[in-house]
Amino acid sequence: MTTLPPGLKPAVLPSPLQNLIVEKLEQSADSVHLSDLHALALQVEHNLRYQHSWTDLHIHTHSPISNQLLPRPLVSGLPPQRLYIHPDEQIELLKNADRKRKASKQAQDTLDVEVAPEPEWVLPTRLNEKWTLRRLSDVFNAISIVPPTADENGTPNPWRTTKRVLLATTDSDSTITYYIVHDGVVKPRQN
Amino acid sequence: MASTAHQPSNSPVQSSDVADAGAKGVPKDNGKPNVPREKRPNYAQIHSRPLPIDVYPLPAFIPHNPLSIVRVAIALISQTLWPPISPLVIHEAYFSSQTLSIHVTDPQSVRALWEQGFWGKGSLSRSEPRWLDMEKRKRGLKAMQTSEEYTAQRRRERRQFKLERARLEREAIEEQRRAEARLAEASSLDATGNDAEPTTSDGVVQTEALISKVDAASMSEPEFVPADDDVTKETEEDLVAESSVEDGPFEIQNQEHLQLTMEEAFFLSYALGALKVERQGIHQSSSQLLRLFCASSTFSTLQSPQTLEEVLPRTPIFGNPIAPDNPFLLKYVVFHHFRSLGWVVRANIKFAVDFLLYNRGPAFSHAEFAVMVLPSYSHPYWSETTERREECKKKESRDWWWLHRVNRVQGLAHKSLMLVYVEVPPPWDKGGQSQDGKLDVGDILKRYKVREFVLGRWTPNRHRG
Repeated sequence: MTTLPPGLKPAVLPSPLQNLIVEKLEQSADSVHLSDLHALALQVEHNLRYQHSWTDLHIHTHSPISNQLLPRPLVSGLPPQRLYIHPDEQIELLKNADRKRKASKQAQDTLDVEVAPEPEWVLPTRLNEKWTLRRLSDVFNAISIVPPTADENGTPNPWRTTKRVLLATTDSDSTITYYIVHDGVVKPRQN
Repeated sequence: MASTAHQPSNSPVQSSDVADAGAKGVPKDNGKPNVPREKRPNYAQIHSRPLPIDVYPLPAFIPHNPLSIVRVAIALISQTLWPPISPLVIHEAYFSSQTLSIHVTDPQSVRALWEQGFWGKGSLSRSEPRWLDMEKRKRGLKAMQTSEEYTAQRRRERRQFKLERARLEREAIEEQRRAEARLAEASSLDATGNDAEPTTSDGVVQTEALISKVDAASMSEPEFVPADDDVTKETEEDLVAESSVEDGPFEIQNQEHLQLTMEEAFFLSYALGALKVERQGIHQSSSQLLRLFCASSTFSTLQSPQTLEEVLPRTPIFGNPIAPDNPFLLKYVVFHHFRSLGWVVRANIKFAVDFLLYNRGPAFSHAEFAVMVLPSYSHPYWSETTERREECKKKESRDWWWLHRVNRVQGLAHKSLMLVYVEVPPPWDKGGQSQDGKLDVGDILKRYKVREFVLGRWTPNRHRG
């Protein structure tokens, strides 16, 4: 509602998402990216924060490695649960959990596998876009394995060795679908 | 049950049968249900109106009651003189050019549009806008379970099951390895191999036992529900124990809005007249909406460095006529076709199709059909020149892999795949014929034809007999 003539109140109240986008776009009027791509990133960030309860959300415009401009703004954040467990890590975790269960001598206990959530990269896209391997690899080249976070003291996960992003695809009915995309071939996950 | 026994019963059997009938839950003629029913919203009542319009039926004509003719006549005359208004309420929405979508924010309109025909989707829910309920529950303000939470619970159980299964499989593999190691050891120690025999069989038996354990575990897997179909008959969702605690001292700001797809918004405003869509505070007419939606359906950030707002003002007048195979038009024609036939049509990217068709709506049953919209260029205009023929062939052709991929997904989700071909007419928008770019929407829609084609995978085992 930026271009609304003064004195004319919109008959329909804008949605919280719309308010957020308009407000943020005004703040970054001289944004390095197209305002449209920036709006898309804001939309995905809003969805992650409120529908999926993510925390520590940030929008990145520059690569954390080279400090160059990213192909488009990316979102990073911390999901409430771990999104991806490497198959070898799962074996390790299961062994530990089983040992713990046997130690407690109660066979009825459920297998408690505790995995701490990890921060993830999110790539916002639209359904009518065409993505190629080249464009995806441009994104992968510009990002680090783990997104930069405020607290650097956390021990890095030794199993996380390949880059991955969460491909967020928005549809016009407000559905956003999320797919994990790895940089290259990874060991298949046990389903 | 005492009241039934006291009733003057015609047959002596009835009183003795009372306990039995009560156990079966057969409602007796006194109308009292014997079994305490689960409390769940009456969907038939909530969604009693299939469309957000008001209808005024004529009184019934009863042939043996001549007075009923008078009532019909009065209704006819009064409705001719004072035509009833329909729809009584016109909902309002606005087009957000930043997100290329249509938002409805008024809570009453959101409820009404959802209840009367399942329009739109809550931007932070899977279908019905229930984010606020969920948020209240999260903060302990409301005791109720939404379908999202039920799904989360089901997913947790499934994950636990998979972890147990993975552990058992892992143990089986390790056991096998140990057995093989023992075998190798034995054969290296004993060249004759006489003693190796019992060890091996023992090892094999052990692993088999483990594997059968795994099988038994997988038998008990909770019935896998193919996919998160939108809110359907997840009854648990609605065992709503609404101990209505008053909304706490702090109020949660609702972050959710109802988002309509462009097809839904156009049908509501053009076909039903139940919606007003505005852009930048200005109400849009049908032809303006058509131009707007056609432009935004082809708009892609990758092709042009401008935003949609910069592109739009030029599209109606200068050189950018609407292509007859514009993606919005093709999808709208199909949407209009099925909505007019009474189906509830909902967009669905999660099943990798354009639309899902529900019989009455997602609250009543799962979707029966998954619709894929395809253009078809059989009009002679499209085969006049070789370039045209080649271009159309490129747009029309899909390979077998595409078909198998699409059909496979629908097979897993228990939906029948429907390919809907839209006959594309020759170009009708010459661009800037009239000054204001006005379009006769009805005339445009008449040019399109729709062909349906239902596809099923035939498996010999299932389709025998």
